Amino acid sequence: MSTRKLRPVSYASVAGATEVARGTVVRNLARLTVLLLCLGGCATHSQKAASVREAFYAGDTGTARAALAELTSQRSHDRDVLLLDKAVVDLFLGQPRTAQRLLRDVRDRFDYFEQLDLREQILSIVTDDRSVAYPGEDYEKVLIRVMLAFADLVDDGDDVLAYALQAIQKQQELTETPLPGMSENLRKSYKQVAVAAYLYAVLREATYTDYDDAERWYTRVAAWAPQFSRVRLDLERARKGVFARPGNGVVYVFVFADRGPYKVESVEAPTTVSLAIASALITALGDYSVPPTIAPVKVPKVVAPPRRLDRVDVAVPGRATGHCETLTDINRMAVEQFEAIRPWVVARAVARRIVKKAAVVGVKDALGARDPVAQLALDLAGVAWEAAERADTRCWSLLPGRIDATRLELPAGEHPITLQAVGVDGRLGPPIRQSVQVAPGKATFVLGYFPSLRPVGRVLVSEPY
Amino acid sequence: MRKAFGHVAAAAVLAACVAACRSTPTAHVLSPGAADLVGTQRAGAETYRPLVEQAVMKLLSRQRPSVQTAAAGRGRPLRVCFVGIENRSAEEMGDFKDQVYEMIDTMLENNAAFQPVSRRYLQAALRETGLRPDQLFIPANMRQVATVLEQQGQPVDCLLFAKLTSGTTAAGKDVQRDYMLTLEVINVQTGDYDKESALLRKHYHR
Repeated sequence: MSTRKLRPVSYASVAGATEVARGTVVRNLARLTVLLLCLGGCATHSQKAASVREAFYAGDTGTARAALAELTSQRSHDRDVLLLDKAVVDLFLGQPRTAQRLLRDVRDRFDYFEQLDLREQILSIVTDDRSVAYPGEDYEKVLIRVMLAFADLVDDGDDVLAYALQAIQKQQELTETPLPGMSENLRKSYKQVAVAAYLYAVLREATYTDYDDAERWYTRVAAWAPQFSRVRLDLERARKGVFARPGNGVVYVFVFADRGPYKVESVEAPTTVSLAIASALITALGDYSVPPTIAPVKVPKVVAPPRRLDRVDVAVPGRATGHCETLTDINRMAVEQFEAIRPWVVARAVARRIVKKAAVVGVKDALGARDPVAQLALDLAGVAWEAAERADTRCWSLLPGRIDATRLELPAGEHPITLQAVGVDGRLGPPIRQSVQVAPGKATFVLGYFPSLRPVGRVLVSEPY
Repeated sequence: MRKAFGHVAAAAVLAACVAACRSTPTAHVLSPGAADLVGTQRAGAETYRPLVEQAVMKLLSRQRPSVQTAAAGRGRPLRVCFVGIENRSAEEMGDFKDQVYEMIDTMLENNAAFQPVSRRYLQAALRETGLRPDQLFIPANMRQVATVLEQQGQPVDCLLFAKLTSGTTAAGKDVQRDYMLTLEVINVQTGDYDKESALLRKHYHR
């Protein structure tokens, strides 16, 4: 059995070694601080997406598409939401199949990312929420499936019923599942996406044999979207009437109206003040100072752009007129959903901040850094670390503000149809003319995106379904 | 001691990270004899399949002469047009509705006594006549659709209607739901009918 000889060590050499170690730690901290500040200085998603939104809404789909192609060619934390934007651009450029492929890929990844990954969660405490793979906001998860249904409708319509059903099921699943780590279900108060139920009801009604399904889902639409008054006619027809009179077909016009929600970085002021007071109190009472809360607590905020469009009028000269009514108010839904889960978002930001402060105090304790200079250096590093945080502003930027719809029953044959936007100030947009084919007993779908008085890209028309 | 503690802590964090990674979704094909999953929120395969099997088997085993009259003298199977399933239960059937339809239709097809007519002909007839399935109970309407089907080269002897209903009993948080599938065959010429149903009771523990 070997024995180790212990050599006597002088106090001076220990103190010297500790000083060297301290110097190394402080240098490493300085490097880490610079690195974190650089990371924090990277453009947030909202900054990146702003130019794409502006180009798209101005009708410059070419520029929007080129910008998105470049942005999505690199690996980045917001690539999936940029792909969703690309899908919208592709769809309204008349490429529904490409749009569907992108939407399907992101839908599957969002489902996968709903599982928590501990490594990402730990990294998000060291950095911020942008280091967690984005699983999509709840309204986005439902609307991906709705968008898939529309993209499929204007393509071959083979999978539209499945996508509409998926949207309904996803919605049900979300409202029944509490957020991770929460016992209370904050999602219970969510407003439901009526457009998925409406689309499903229409498709069932068009079979001429499933009026009971249509009635069931129109009833829900009436409850979820009371402002969509025409659903009462749909409900009446599903109960007693027929989808279309003999020799007639139906044209459904769906309009993506107004500009949709997006996220910006906001300062959680009350929390920041509370944390600042708590830091000061702990500093006054404890052995070590706590890094002061100079950097504000940043959280995302959902912004709903102001309403510009009142409605879109639809006319078939000499045959029928109507106007689109709001079926789903995406802006309102996004804001309300985010407000519902806001306590969870803020709690994450606060937890992160507390862990960072505790980590700095822990380092001080480990190093025995009691002298004011060392404490100040570590506090500065801590403040810089906290300042490097950015809010997670990833979101699907090119969603419309709302989805409006109307229904026209027309005799079979080819008809010219005119869509004209009406602004909230009463101004009229240019009339957009399109030809639609109406088949007896069948439904033809028209889809347009009107972020303002003029549509973006093409107005899409399906084959009779 | 501190070093050892550090190593243990690092190992624990590493193990937790590995354990808490996202798992790749997997699936497997159920062997024919394997039990179905039991839906915890609503009815699923475990409910619909036995309901369909029971109801159709009962109907086929009875084969009342009154319904068979139309085909009896012709020495051929009964030409039946399955109109559809009316869901009057407390739950939506979702994607099961079309599958239940196909299950019933296939079971009829596989029975020598029946010869189903494709639903597509019926849908075309309904479009042409402007009638709803529930209006087919009126003899004149039924004959009108039968005439259109005959013009399409698809004469029918009877129409088959299916209806799903449910009854719910709540006891605290627990719920018992009784599902009933009713099949009704109506002779288009005489209006005679035959009816069979199957019941399945399910207890939801909530």
